[in-house]
Amino acid sequence: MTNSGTIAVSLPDEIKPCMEGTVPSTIVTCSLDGVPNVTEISQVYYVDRNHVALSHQFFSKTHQNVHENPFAMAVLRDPSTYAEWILELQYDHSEESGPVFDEMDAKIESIASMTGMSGIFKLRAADIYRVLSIRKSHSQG
Amino acid sequence: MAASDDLSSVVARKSDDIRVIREITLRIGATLALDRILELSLEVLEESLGFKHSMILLVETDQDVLVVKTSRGYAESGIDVKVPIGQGVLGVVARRRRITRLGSISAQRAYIANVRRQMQSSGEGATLEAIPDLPGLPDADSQIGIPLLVQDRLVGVLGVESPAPRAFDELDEMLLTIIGSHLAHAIENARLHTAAIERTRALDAANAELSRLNETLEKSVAERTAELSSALIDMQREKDLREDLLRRMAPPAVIPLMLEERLTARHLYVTILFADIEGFTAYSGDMEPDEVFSHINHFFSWAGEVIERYRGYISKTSGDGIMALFGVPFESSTHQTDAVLAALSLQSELHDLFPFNIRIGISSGIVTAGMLGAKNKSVYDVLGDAVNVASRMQDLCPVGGIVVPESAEALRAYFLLDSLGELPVKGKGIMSCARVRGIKPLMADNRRVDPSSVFARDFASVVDEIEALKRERLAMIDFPSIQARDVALHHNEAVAAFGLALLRFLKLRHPELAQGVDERRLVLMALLHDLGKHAIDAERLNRPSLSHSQRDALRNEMCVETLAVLDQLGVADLAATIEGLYRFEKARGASGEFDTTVEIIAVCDIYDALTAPKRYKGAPWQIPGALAELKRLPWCQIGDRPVVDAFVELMKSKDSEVYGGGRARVVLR
Amino acid sequence: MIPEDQARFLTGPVIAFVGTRNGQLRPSMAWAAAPRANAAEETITFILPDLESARVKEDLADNGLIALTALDPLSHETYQYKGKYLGSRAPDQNDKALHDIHKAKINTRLREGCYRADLFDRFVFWPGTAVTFRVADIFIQTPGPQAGKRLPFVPSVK
Repeated sequence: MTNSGTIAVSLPDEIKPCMEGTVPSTIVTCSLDGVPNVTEISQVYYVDRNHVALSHQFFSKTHQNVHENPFAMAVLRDPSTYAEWILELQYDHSEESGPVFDEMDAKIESIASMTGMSGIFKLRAADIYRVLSIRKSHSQG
Repeated sequence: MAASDDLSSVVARKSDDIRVIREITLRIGATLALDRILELSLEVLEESLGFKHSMILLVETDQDVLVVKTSRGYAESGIDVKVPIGQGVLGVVARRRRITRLGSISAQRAYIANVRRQMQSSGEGATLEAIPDLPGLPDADSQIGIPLLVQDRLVGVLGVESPAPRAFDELDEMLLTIIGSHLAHAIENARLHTAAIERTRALDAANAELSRLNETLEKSVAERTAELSSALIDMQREKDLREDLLRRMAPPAVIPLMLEERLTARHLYVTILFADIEGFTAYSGDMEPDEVFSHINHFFSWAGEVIERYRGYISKTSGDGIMALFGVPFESSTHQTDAVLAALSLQSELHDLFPFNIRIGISSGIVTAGMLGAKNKSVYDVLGDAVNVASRMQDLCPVGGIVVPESAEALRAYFLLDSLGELPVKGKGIMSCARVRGIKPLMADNRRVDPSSVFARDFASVVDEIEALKRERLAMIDFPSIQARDVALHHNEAVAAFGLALLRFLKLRHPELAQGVDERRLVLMALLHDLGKHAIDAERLNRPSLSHSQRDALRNEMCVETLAVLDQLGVADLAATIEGLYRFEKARGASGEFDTTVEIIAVCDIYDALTAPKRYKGAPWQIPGALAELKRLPWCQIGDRPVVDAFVELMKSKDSEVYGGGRARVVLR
Repeated sequence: MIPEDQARFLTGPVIAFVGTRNGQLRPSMAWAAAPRANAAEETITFILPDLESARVKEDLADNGLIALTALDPLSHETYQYKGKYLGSRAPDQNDKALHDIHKAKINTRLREGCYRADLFDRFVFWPGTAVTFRVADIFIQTPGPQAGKRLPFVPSVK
């Protein structure tokens, strides 16, 4: 994990509404033995211009896959138009404490406690991904 | 951050926000009635910011539960409804003591509710808790919860919500954080004040009781009680008068003790400053007496303001001179340096306003402090040897100067002292005295800068460039009084100088790293990075050992307050990098971000913290040791850190090597 | 045999995606429309829209590994079907009809939950290609403690 000066791709401000958990996102990963895995997730979290985070709560094949093979693709959707953004990601590391974890944990804990699900919807780790590329999808023609 | 075409609207919005904060501070600061403070706050939130639904909950005395004290924008007020700490957004905010913002509550609740239903239908429902009944909008889609904190203590929570999704953004979060801080302190003050006026209420009640008796008893008894009640009234009137006079005779912090007649003489280690006008007779020779008074009072007012900036207190004036105390009525860690810095400010700012000169004498020592004087004519005063010494220092002082006893070793670390030799001091025989020239300049401070280093030899001019930029962009900030709070003299200028030199050094060695880092922005950020300390209690800043959570709390507050300063200066675009710096230092460099600007500032900040003398850290590190320690820090263990290596090359003594083996010993911030 | 309730689930108002990967293990995904199972042959056929599916097509040609995830947008009941690509063909009138029905069912379902059916309608799943793959595994993916569990499906067709 060296800071070798790779070109960083920036998340534009327009994508932020897609990262509030209003409309689910989709993420695809792939195990080391080559089997793809597609899953819907409720929220992709904004960390900074070059990083996003996924919450690791229950058992997750996604979490398991990226530890073997870090590459992933995520589709984020705009709540007002359902327009899609396609992100290529590379898993970087997981955090079990720290500011990103704390912020995610606070949000999850708040919603969980509102629905009587405290302790069950516990955040085990914040999986941090680097954004490799981003583009708008043409799936709406 | 906002695209350039949105920047002007962001700036405009920030100016509005600052205006709102000022308005809130003024309006809630004008009252000490708790209910009014709470109502006013929500009123302003709606009128100025458009937040229609809000509530304030305060912590109940057993600390496990919040109670709704006031609300706005709800059909039912919800007042007195209890919320257990840990439940719902506000309960979680209270437990975690951190601001939380949600933008899609309905969707997320629906999602989790589904999971709950799945669990119930697959037979795991037994372990589930009940869904709590929480105050607020049943269909809120956006919400922000702000913890109200005073020092480390939770006072309550402020909640703002909206039925619309994504109704609040990061700017709202920052604004409410600042408002929350003011609100918390206003609530705290109101509570303290309530305790203080309880006494008056008790007096009123006693009065009322007596006048009731007056009506029902026989004449002789009535006469007797009339005497008593009039005596009580007199006493109360006298007390009111005294309070007023007291405010002019003693430091405010001491007044409650005086009212309760609990103020006893104490031994304190303080610093005393005497200043008088040189050649005042010549200056005022042609003036009318009332003109003379007016001029002198103007001088006293101005001097008083400067002294207060450094947390001192003018205890008396006599003729054209003043006596100021530092470190009263409660022990202060920084009284010695505060006094000298105040004196330096007095001397440097004097000639902008006044055509005469002043002489200043300073001395520190143990004194007895308390109310001195005849029964109803006492003032808060100090007695002790140090008072005489300070006065004599002033007598011996050359015009326009500041004189201290040479034995003031503690000052030598921070200031340039010119020895005046041995001088006769009335009542003390012979004493070595010294004249304070100024704060020790960075390049002359061998503890921070090795004269044989690349920095000293090739980059010395950065110090002047920093001063020029300070004068140009930051003339409205009084750096010395802020830095005096934890005696970090010239810290910001040092970090800026090291940072600028390091950046230029990097441009020669690793141009690809230095690319994209703007010199002016780097210098500005270095100068502003910790100015948030102006709003933090000085004793807290100087506490020697903090627990992990105390350090985190202090760091968070420092970050928030510093961001507030950036807003006020209109440089909020620096906020993201400053936040990155605090994240970086909190995570000891393990936060995963390696922004070059953040790394440069962090390295210089830590280096200066290690090498500059600072009270609570004990003896400072020697330069070779400090450089070795930098290489041992956690983020240097991850891989090659060219920025740190370059810094070590820049600052080390010419013929030495720096090794970084082993674990770091220093704890950041 | 693919279990009957699975086959029925697939033809309901399900939102579906397929995931694939290339020779360097970089994953890609695309929408899937009108999925249907052939229980006896243990295959699933779906429409892969022409829009935004170029990489998926390349991946299938490269290694043929595919995963299809289908979920009910309101209850979030979700299953993932993993398997091996068998082939594609040009879609026919039957496919078109199934596509139209699928979209209509989703619209109705979304409206039940106050989601924006009109926005979902903007997605363009036709024209496309009819893709078929053989199912090797079926997983529960409904969010919750059960997620990741493999269903007891043992393929009888090799």
